[in-house]
Amino acid sequence: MAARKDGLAGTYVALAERHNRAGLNEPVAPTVGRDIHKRVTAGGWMRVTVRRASADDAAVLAGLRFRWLTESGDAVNWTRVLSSRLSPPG
Amino acid sequence: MDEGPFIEAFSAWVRDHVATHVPFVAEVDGDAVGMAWLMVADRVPNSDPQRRRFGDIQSVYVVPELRDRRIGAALLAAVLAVARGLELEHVTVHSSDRGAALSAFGVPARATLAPLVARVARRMIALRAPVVCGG
Repeated sequence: MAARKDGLAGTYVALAERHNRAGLNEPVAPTVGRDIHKRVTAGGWMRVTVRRASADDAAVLAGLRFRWLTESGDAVNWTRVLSSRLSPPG
Repeated sequence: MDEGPFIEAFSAWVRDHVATHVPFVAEVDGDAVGMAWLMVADRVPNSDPQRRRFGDIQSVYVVPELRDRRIGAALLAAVLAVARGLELEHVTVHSSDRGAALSAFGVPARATLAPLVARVARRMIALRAPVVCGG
């Protein structure tokens, strides 16, 4: 998929299927401009915004990472491991 | 594991590594639904006057309820666009057996040997012409 760079610097916009098409595995072609609004309002598509994050998004990224680790069952002792990898203060 | 201490520790890690690990977030209706990371590192210098850097794509994740909608591919497209902008020599990726990252580069995620191969394979994406002097 070739994401389209939006007017906002560093923001990329693509479309993804809102509804699962189980088993069909159809490729989804990105569309641009007015087509996005038309397809979103039709309910069959959703607008996905991908942006370059920053340190201000640390908590959001941590939330996603926590969800991933919980989902995969790898969560045990990760807080201790993470803390040990941080630079000492000062 | 308690979520609170993890969020605090991981947030500190993000702030500590933001210079080398560039994060990306995918959002739907204002909610964060996925992420990807581009680690940027220097290569050993050679006679090429241009700074030699490469990237490694890490931790591509999409929440389970929104998978198979090519959100991961959108994340990787943005990562590669930024990698090109940074003039990295190449980008590598070490995919899980799900193979979402490999699939975005044209390797079938569910190919016959995908669970085994994807776990060990490193796929390198050349982003600019190789320099004359190797190494």
